[in-house]
Amino acid sequence: MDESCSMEAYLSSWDQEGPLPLQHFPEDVLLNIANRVPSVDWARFSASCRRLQELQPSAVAVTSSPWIMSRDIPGHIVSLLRWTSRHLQAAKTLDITLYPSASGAFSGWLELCRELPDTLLITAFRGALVSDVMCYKRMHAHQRRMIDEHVAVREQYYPINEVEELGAWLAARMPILCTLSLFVSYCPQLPALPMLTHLELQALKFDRVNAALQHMPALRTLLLACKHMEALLPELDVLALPNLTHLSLHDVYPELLLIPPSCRLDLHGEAETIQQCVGNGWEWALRQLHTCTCAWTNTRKTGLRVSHSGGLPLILREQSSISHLSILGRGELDFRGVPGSRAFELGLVHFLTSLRLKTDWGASIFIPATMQLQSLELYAPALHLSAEEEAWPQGLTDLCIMTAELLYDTHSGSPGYACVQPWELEELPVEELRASLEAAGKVVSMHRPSKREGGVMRITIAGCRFDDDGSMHRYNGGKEACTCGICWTCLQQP
Amino acid sequence: MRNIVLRANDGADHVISVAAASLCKTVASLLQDLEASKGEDTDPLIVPLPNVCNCTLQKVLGFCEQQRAFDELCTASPAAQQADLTRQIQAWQMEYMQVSTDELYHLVMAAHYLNVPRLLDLCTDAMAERIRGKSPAQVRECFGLKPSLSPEEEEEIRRSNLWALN
Repeated sequence: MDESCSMEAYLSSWDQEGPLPLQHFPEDVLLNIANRVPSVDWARFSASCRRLQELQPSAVAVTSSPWIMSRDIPGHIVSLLRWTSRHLQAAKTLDITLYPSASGAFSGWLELCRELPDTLLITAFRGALVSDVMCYKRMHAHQRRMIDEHVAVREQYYPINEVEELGAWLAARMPILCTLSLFVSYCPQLPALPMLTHLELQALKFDRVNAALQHMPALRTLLLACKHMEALLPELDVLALPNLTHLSLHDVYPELLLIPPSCRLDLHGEAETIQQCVGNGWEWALRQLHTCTCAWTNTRKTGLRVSHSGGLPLILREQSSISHLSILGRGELDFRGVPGSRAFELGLVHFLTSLRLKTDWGASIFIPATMQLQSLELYAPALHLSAEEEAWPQGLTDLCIMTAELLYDTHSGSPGYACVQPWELEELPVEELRASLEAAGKVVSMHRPSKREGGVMRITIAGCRFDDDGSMHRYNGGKEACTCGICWTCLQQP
Repeated sequence: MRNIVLRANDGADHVISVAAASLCKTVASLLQDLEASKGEDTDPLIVPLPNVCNCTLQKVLGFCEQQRAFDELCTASPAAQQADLTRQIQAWQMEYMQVSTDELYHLVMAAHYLNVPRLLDLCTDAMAERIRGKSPAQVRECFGLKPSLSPEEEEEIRRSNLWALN
């Protein structure tokens, strides 16, 4: 229907009784709406009318439920693939999360895709084509952590899945692709993608990654991740990518790492594994280390433990270029330092501008006077924060303290009442600091009513908190605009 | 400054500021044409809008005037107050969008005809919000869609949308 017809139909509908017919909307308005609802809702909506059936949204985002895999509902995967392949043809962005099914859905997908044109003008493909191996490993990653002493670097055989073929097949048909994210067990043999600027590969094995990166001259950001498990590879050489400005490695450890001189390096991993795997082959790359996230994960064998500055990997204690440090713990984090020693090595604090500390247990931190922080984020159920005199630098622009009522978890598996303790405020002039920062127009967020503010001490159920509005927050910290990433509010955010 | 009068399809007139009128691109281009033909005349410029009813026009003009006021505030406010202002704008927009489906429908058509991109974005967001989680039958009832599909077509659509319908 053209625009004048839709307007005439609209004007004639003024005399009708009852709800006005939606199909008179101009096509661009309908497409605008289609691109604002999840594909599953659009599929339901468009099933109500022939005109809507014919529309092709420019953003296709489909997710097959992992339940399909376990319940194997007949026809669901095939119908999902049929719908996607039909609507793929006008899509500019493609966001697919497909879990494997027992019925060989990916083979069916490949057959359906053969009906598509040879070239798809898709610019962003954020496909999470989860192979059954990855799915299995993901599902058990948490439990493995509870069993293993630490997540060891290991050599295992993972069968090549149809998912890798599909990812490579799709990428080969998208010559103007500028964003590609793949979630596969093996790094696939990727085609030449001359316009690709962002590549994110989440895999278990990266053996072919050097070859895959050869024909992507425009690449600017590269993320290689093997979350929850570590991946070892002999060499990662990205010197041939002149435009690369940002390399991020999540639990991926090449023996030899070569990066262009202007490229920023971010590293994310378990503290013990970083210490074990980052060696002489990283000597030059470490000079460009910008951000590091160090995690300590408790396992059944280690039990609850106290992590402290002595446990930081040696490269961090000696590395002076790092400006952002995140410390993630599952257990007590003690960065106070003992009398006669320093909580942080001088080499580390020299350039550090941003410090983030997050734990689901207690945290203690001492900020030395030499640390010129601009941003400090602390997320902990129980916090002991102290600073050397005059340590609160004028340059501090962002302060985020996210603490909850202090809990004594009963560990009984069922909610129990918890005690509430006052927050230790003696060491830090919180209110004065907040007032001075806010007066200077800085961002300050502190989500725990302190004793001084006359905050109401709530009765807290271990592991959960009920707010005045009746909403429940697990892990306590979360409120509106919470950014802790661990509370229920954050987990609900897309 | 010359007054601008927008005339709804039933003849009701609404006086509007030039800044607010400029948010409606259709009105802005009609004004240019009218000014070119009338020259330096001081009479108010009357823009007839035969496709928009009076109450919808009133609602659209309310949006334009408020947005213009917010724009001025945004320009004048220091950076520290921008977040607060954004929250105010969002709250106002949420209040503004508390309309029935019929009103929303007219608003979408008016925003499209008058070419007010910000209002159209707001309306399509509201439409999308009303679509979420509804079954085809609920959609038909809510949006007044008349059944236009044969039983065979319905069966074919049901099969190809099985993943979303069950």
